[in-house]
Amino acid sequence: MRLENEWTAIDESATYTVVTGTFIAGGKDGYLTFGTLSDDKQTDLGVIDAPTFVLYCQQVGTLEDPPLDEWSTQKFTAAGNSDFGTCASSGETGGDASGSEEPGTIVDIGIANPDFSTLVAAVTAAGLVETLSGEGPFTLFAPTNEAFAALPAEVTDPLLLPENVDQLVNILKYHVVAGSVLSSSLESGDVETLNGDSVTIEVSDSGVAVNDATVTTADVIASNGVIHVIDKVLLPPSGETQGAEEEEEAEPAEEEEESEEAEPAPSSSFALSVAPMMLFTLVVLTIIL
Amino acid sequence: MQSLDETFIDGFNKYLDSIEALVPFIPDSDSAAILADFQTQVDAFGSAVIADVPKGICHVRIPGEEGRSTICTPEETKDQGGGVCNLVAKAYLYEVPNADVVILNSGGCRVDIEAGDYTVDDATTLLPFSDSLWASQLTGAEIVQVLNEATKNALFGDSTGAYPYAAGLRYLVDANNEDTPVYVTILSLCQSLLVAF
Repeated sequence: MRLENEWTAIDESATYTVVTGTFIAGGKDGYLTFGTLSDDKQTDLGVIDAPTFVLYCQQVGTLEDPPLDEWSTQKFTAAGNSDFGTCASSGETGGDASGSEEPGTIVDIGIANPDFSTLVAAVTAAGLVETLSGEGPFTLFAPTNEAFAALPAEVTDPLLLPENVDQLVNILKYHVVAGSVLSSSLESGDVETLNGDSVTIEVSDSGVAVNDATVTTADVIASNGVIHVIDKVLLPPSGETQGAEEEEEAEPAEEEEESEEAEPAPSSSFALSVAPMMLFTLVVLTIIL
Repeated sequence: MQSLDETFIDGFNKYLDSIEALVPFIPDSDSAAILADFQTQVDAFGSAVIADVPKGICHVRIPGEEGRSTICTPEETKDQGGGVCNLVAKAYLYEVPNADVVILNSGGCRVDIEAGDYTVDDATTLLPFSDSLWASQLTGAEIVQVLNEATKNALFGDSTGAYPYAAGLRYLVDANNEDTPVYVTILSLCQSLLVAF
């Protein structure tokens, strides 16, 4: 009896109620963060794992693979595997055929991460959402909000003007390379971008640089390519004087909504609502016995 | 494993007899009868059918793991892992109102769920540790952190059982990225995979 199934980006600063077993709640098996929580942040619910699962079995009556789009691991990339041309969803391990889902597109991933709200706003303003949601595959060098904010206003302001949308498109396309190129396959040299100009890639022991930007997070895998996060906006040689865009007005409205939705219910009501469940568990177990 | 040769066993038994440290045990018939009564009830409880399983559900730890599931091939689990821990996590989310998410270590689930009748014994074989369920308050950032810690331990440490499964959370895992194998970017939250009682 699922009421709805809506997925939103996690809010890093919101507090969530996480249920787990004694073992990892105590920080065992590498789940170190659980072990650092103060006592007031952890509550023993007083129910045991197997009887809880028994109760679930009796209530649902039929055990099936959850739909694949609910599975926690949406895509696992094994070590040494660099075949991301098509990020196929899982094979039939059972489950609801309608539930299979790939990781999101490059655009979906950008939308899901508040650090890219400026980039998403720019891509939206430039009318490139459809392109970057397309089959691809693409490699996107994605500047963070901080990277955009570091641009001087004289560079960004003109790009907000509707008549300069071509310049915006030009700059954004300068961040996209055809094909899905993982950081492990990147080599030093010039690579042509979608706007026709080339970026200079430099691979060294200290990491990967694109022009004067540094890749801060590599290999974020999307269904239609891969994203490498960079710390500076790339300005094409022909567009040095025009630059990129600015957030403020262009900020997508849904971001606010997202963080509101992600707000967990107040924890004070938690104990109240758990109590009847425990009682119910007891009653059911008594009936079984 | 090396088998012990009979001369050795014989000699060892003689040694045990000589030190009189072991006392032969004869079952007490009264106690045995009382125990048998309980055992019958335990057996009946254990064999009670609690659910139907139309199709086998696979258990693996790290996706693509070989030799654990007797139902799925590694090819079938390589992209998303196994269904069992996903289902168990979903069950806890279902049973604990106001839980936002559930996180489990894959070593906590032990076996496939075979097609057919599912019994209490099957459930205790699947979850044999009698772990209590705990509710912890974590920030989103801490959730991301703990998932990365666990995944690192599973992929690059010494505990494959640490590989995390969850309900209400979705993530991408890249075993080529030792620093942050779990991608924060698409970590999502299902707010409402809950039921009302």
